Formats: sequence, C-alpha cells, structure tokens
Amino acid sequence: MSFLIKNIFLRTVIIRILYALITIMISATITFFLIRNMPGDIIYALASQLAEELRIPLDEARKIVMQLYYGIDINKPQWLQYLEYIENLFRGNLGYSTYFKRPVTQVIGRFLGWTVFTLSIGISLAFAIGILIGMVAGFRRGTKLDSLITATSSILTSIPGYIIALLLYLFLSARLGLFPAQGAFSPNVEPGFNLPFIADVFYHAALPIITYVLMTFSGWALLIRSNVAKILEEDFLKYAEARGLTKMRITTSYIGKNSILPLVPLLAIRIGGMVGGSALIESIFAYPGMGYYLSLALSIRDYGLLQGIFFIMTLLTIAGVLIVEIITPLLDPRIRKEVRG
Amino acid sequence: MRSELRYQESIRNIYADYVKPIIKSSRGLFGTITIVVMILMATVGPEVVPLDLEPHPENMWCIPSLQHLFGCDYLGRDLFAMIIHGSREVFLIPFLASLIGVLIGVVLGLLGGFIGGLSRRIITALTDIWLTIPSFPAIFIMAYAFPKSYLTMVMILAVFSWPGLTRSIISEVSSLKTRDYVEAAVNLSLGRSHILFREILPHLMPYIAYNLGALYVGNMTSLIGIIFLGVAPLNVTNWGYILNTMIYTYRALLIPQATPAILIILILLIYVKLGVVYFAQSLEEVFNPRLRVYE
Amino acid sequence: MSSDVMISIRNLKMEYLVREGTIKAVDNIDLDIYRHEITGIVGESGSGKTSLIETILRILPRNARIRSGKVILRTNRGDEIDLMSLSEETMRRIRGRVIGYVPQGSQTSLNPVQNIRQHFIETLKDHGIHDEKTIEESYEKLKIVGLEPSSVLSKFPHELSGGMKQRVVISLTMALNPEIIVLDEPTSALDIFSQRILLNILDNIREKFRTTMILITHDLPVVAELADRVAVLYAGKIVEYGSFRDIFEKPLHPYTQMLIRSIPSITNFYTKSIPKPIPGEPPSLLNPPPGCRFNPRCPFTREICVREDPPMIEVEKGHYVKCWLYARK
Repeated sequence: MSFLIKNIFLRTVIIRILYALITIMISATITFFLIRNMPGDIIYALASQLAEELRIPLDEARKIVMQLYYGIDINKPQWLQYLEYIENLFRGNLGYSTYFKRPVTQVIGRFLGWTVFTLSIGISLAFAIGILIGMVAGFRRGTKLDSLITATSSILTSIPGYIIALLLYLFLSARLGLFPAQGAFSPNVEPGFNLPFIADVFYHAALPIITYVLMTFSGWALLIRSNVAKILEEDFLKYAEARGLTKMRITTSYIGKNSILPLVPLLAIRIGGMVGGSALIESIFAYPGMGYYLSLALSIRDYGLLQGIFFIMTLLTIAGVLIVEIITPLLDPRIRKEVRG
Repeated sequence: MRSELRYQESIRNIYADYVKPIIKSSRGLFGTITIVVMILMATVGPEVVPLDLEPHPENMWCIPSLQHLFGCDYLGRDLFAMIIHGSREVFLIPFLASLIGVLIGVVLGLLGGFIGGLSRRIITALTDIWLTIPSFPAIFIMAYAFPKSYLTMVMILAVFSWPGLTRSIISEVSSLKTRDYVEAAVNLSLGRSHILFREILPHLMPYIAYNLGALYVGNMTSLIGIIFLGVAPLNVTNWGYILNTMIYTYRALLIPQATPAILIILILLIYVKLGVVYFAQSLEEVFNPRLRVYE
Repeated sequence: MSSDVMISIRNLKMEYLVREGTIKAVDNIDLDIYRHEITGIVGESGSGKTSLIETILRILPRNARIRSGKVILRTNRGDEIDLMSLSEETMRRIRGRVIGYVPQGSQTSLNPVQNIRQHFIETLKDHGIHDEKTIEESYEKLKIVGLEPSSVLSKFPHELSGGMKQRVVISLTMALNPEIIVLDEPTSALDIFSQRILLNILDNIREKFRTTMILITHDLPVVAELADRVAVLYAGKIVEYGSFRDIFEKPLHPYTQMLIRSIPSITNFYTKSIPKPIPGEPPSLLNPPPGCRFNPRCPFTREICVREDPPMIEVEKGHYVKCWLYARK
C-alpha cells in the first residue's frame, strides 16, 4: 500500500521537476533574447577598447569579446548563438562579466551567499513572528489586543519594502548611526569562522533582515489570525477537549497544525516575490548581494553579468517553489489526496 | 414617465447598494477620500499649481512653510509643485497597467475556467510558469531594454500583472460551473452570455476588486522602485526620480535638513497606498454581501 | 434495573450570554443516571440536550455561565465527587477516562491532519498511558465497532466514509475504557441500515462492558429499543422521567404523550392512530417567560400554567412528571 503511495508521490515530484526545468528554459530564453537585443552596443565599446590595448583589428577584438561574453561565436546566426547559450547553461557556464573581467559564475558565487543568507533568515523569521502574533490575535479575537494587532498589521502590509528600508536607513543608520551604512562586513575584520567576524556579519545583515521581516510578517499574521478564528469553531476541537487532551496538545496539534498548514503553499509564492524585491532592498543598504549587483550590472551595462544574475534569480525562485511544493504533501495529508487523483 | 421613475430608482439602488456601504465603514471613507484626492492631484493639480524647475540655490532644502508646502529640494525648487505634477505619471501608469492586467487576467481566467479541459491546463501551466519569473528584476530589465514611453511602461507592468488574478478566477469559475444554479441556468437554455454575466461575473467581483487594488499598489511600487534604482523616468517630476537624485546624487539621507523632504514623499506614498488598499477592501466587502443574496 | 445511582444532578443551571439577553439552556435540572443502565434523554432540537452534556463535562463555549448546581459522580470504584467543584486539570483527567463522549456529527470530530493511530496514541498519552502494550490493546477497540485495525489505523479522516468515521469515534471514546459514555444523536445522520448496525454495536458494548450509557436523541424508536430509563427534555427542563415502560406505556406529560403519538408505527399504520405532529414551534430559550414552557402548545393548558412553573412530582415509584395536571397547588 505504501509503495503505491510512494510511487505516485515520486511521479508528482518528477512532474514538478520537469515543470521547473521547462520554466527555467523559458526564462533563460526570454533573458537571452531580451538582453541580446538591448540598446547600447557595449560590445562595440569594449571591442574598440580591447583592440586598442592589444593592437588587434576591431573585428577580431569583437569576436574575442563575444566569445568571452556569451561563450559563443558571434559569426553564427542568432538562433545558433541561442543554442550554444543553452548548451553553455547546461555546462554551468553563465557567460562573462565585462566589469569584473571574470566568468559570471565566479562573480555570482561570491555574493550569492549574502542574498541567500539574508533572505532565508528574513523569510523564516517573518513567518515565525507572523504566526506567533497572528495566533495571539486569533485566540483573543474581538479584544482590544486583537484590534490593535489587526489594525497595525493591515497598515504595515500596505507599506512597500523600499519605504521601510529607506525609513530604517534614515533613522537607524544615517541619523542614529546604530547600524552600518553598507557592505556585508567591515573591512577591518578578519573573515572566517571566528566570533568577531560572525558578529560583524550579523551586524551588517541586521537592517536588510529587519526590513524583510517588517515587510512580510504582518501579512502572515493576518492570514493566521483568520485561519485560527475559523479553526476555533471546528467540531474536532470540542471532541478533543471532551477526550481530555491537554491544552498544549490542542493548541499545537489541533489548532496550530490546521491553521499553519494551508499557509505553506503561500510561502512558495512569497519566496518568488522576495527574491525579486531583494534588488531594491539591497541597493538601498548597499548590501553586496545579488540584487545589488543586478542594478549595478544594469547601470554599467554589463550584460553578461546581468543575464547571469537574472537567470540565477529565476533559478532560486523556481527552486524555492519546488521545495515548498514537494514538502507540502508530506506535511498536509489532505493534499496528498489531490496528488493521488 | 415610467422610464424616468426607473432611472431614479436605479440611481437610488446604486447609491444604497454600493456607495452607502463604502462610505459607512471608516476604511471605505478613508479610501474614497484618498481616491478623490488622488484624482484631483493628477487631473486638476498640474493645471492649478505652477511648476518651477529653475534652480534657486538660496532655497536649498528649505523647510515646509506656507510658501513651499512640502519644502524644497536640493536645488531649491518647490517640492509641492513637483509632486503634484509628478502625480500624473505616478498614478496613471500603474492604474492603466493594472486595468489591462485585470482585463487579461479575467479573460484568460474565464476561458480557462469556463471551457475547462485542455485549455484550462494550458492556461494554468502558462500562469504558473509566469509566476515563477521574478517580476521586479524582469520589469527592471525590460524598462531598460525598451524605448521609453507611456505605452511601453504600461505594457511592461501589465505583462506581469495578469497571472495572480487568472489563477483565482480559474479556480472560482471551475467550482462555480458545477454549482446548482449554474446547471439550472444551462438547463433552461439561458444562453452562455447570460450565465456569464448574470451568474458568474458577480461572484468574481470581490476577487477583481481586491486584485485591482493590490495590483495598483504593487505596480506603483515597481514603477517607483525601478526609477529609484536608476531607470530614466518620463518626467523629472516622477517621485521615484526625485527620491533617486535626492538620495544618490545629493546624499539626502545624511543631510539633516533633507529629512523632512524625504519623509514627506515617503509618507505620501504610504498614505496613497493605504487609501487604495482600504478602498479596494471596502469594495470587496460591498460585492460580497450581494453575492449572498444570489446564493 | 439497578438502584445504584452513578450520576446525581441537582439544580443544574446554565445559561449563554448573548447580545439580546440570556439563553437559559439548562434550567434547573434534576436527574439521576443509574449505573450499568442506558438512560435516554429525549427532546426536540433546541431543547438543550447538547448543552446539558457540555455542562456536565464542562466543555462549554466562552459565553456560557454555569449558575448553580451539583453533579455528583460516584465512580465504579466508589469515589464520590462533585464535577462542578473540580479544578480544570482534574476535570480534564476525568474527561475521556471516566466519562466518554461521542459527539453529534462525528464526521467532523476527527483531526484532519493526523491519522487514526495518532488519535489513539495521543488520547492515551495525555491520560498518562505510555506503554506500548496498552496502546496496542486499545486498537482492539476498533473491532468492537466492526472495523479492522490494520486497515484503519494508518488512514486519515478524509479517507474514511461518514459511517466509518462515526465508528472510529465510538471506538476512540471506548479506548480509555470509560465508566460511562454519552452519545449525542448517534443516529441522526445515518440511513436505516447504518442505524441498525449502530444499535447493534451499542447493544454489544452494553453486553460486553456493562458501560453506563446516556443516549441523547430526538429519535424515539432508538430510545425505545435501547433505553432502560428515559428523561424527556423540553426547553431546558426535564418534564418527565421514568423507566422505559413508564414513558412508553403510561406517558403522563402532554408533551410526552404527543411525542409518542407522533411516531409513525407500522402496526398502527392502517389501524388506530394517525401520527400527529406536535403543533406550534419549540420555544425560544432566550429570556423565557414565567410559567410552564409548554403551555403555548399544550392542549390542556390552564390559567396557572401561564403564571407558574409546575414542580416535579413523583406520580408513582420512579416515575416523575412536571405538570400542573398532576401537581397540587
């Protein structure tokens, strides 16, 4: 019996992964054609620069730039370039960054970690805090505390992330100097697994993380609150009480599980939005993550880097969604039924 | 004579059913006032308030006063006038984009939900794929890539606005399709368009109302966001551009005198977004009780 | 018929606080539940049946207030306690362990996110039973209701049919071997075949475990089949109480009489009485008027019935009725 379940479960996992791959392909394609056709022929500018430096004819310089740039042969027609691009993608070659004069994968590798670091902490904290606050409000429905929480939360959800970031920066960093103005860690601290460095890292990551939390926790709080309010009217609570189950168990296994589980799929969608939003937030705090370098790459017209970052961002979003989609049936038995059908 | 009476009656109905409940709730009132203010700002404002883009260095970062309601910017220009003039771009573009997005979303949603089967699967797949593309970076990049104009900005924003609504509509319509009264209508051969407009569309209004509000706010954020990050605006009065030059070129975050100016813009943005959201929420609530009458 | 009283309810009053006033759901109830017997509590919907049980178990909603009363429980071991005076923690230990409850609508009484095995385990664990052996033995209770443990335990509620869910709930309630179980409208959602199966199960339990049972229902034939004693509930008050024979053969209260006459009967169908529905509507328990609650619908109502609420009179041994037709003023 369980083998059958596992079999169907595996099948859905595979379908989901296939979906993800198709999505990646499509976004890679869009990225390629979009960026390929952007105005501003930086290739020409770079080629002429290179030609001067190495004293080679412009055409050759052009070829070299394009080769390094996309890892492709510029002489081939565009659709062949596209195929080579895809092939390179599969090999893990994301192109060349003209600004850093390094392969894109190297560049991204250095700062991808910062974004993942801040985003994962931010998203998890926001979820946890939101659930806590939302549950309190749900249990004390109708009281003053509940109205306070609901009112504040609905106002907070309407405030966009960049405004929160700006306000935080304005008051906590620029004005009061409580938090650093930029960077992931201070230049005078030795990187490594030592305490001063780790503390410093958190010190620098604090404002972005706080921003992420403030942006999203209120949304979760409101959702949980309405879920809890719904669950509290359910029959199975009464029967649990009648069986003499402890309050702790009722709160966690009955109310908790039932109100939190429906929210997990929403987490997936949220991750996508946050990855995109990180561009804005990181720029404001000059935090060297992917978002920061995305806008940097755009402004200096480093298309190789731009393409690579955008691709990774899409990848991250898809990965996040995929993980959540796979975990949800494992956690919520009701969804497993749909998976079967 | 009779048609005149009916006309009066229908106006009274619209008032009672729609306008009154919105105004009655405090949120609805706040939202409606905000919307009215916004419309005034964008339409009448620029005609009434003169725009002076000449630098007046002696007024640099002046504090808000009767002469300069919002203070001055880094070049001594009147911020109030700049904001009023910029409101057209900031309000209008996201609005059009959201409208188009909602339209596309509703059409696709109805198609997918109503027809069902293969078209539903295709549309759902398309929507899911679209949703996993990070919208803000994509808008950001596309804004750079395409030639600058009102139309392109609206289209770029609209392109990422439709997926959210489509999903909800498809699931709603699919479940509605099997409801008894729809089946009854079908059996009475009342015609597809009748079913569509009389039975199904009212059920979708809350989703549409909510989404319009959320999309509008989101698109406004995206628009201001990308311009804040450096995309060239259509007018220098675009609020995102004002923020961008203030903060990046003139380091306004570190200048104490500049704080009021920044705060005013931010608070204005918060107020506008809050107002729109509240309005959309009360609109949604208005559509909901009506549905109960149907059921 | 035993003469050993297991639960003794005296002067029990409970009301709900609502915006419009108070709903007197349990209005001064006196009742005795005899050990090893099946007591049926009969009443229309809205008569306060579920409220009575929730009051005894103290699982009332937030807006409920127990105004007065004692519920003396004499366990099989001989302990005597007033349920109304216990602390919440002590009461919790009694719930499920001593008094079991099978609620109305058992279809929605199970936790959707855990399987049946987890339901059993948590029930036992929260009552201090952790050893594997006892837990395994509790699964055997599923057999009493005709379910095979190995196929049911790993299932989730949504994978079971309505009838199966109800049987799971019954076996889960029996898992702790409670001394008394209360069943609230066990037959209402069932078709006639499932009803038969259920009644057989209950009969089985009575035979095998000699569990004291309280059967709350509006379905008289069910009461007729299983109950040893019957209490008739109307508008939050008990209007008649007696043995099964007393109630069905010599109903005293006008309401009871009309109830009995309103049952369609195959034998009576073509011959004697045509079933008569009871005219009027059940009274609202909100801010009730003085006097006998049944008087608006009573064919024998007199002037005193409107003014004063009649006392409970023992007309013959063990047969009580609350009606001015029998009480002297």
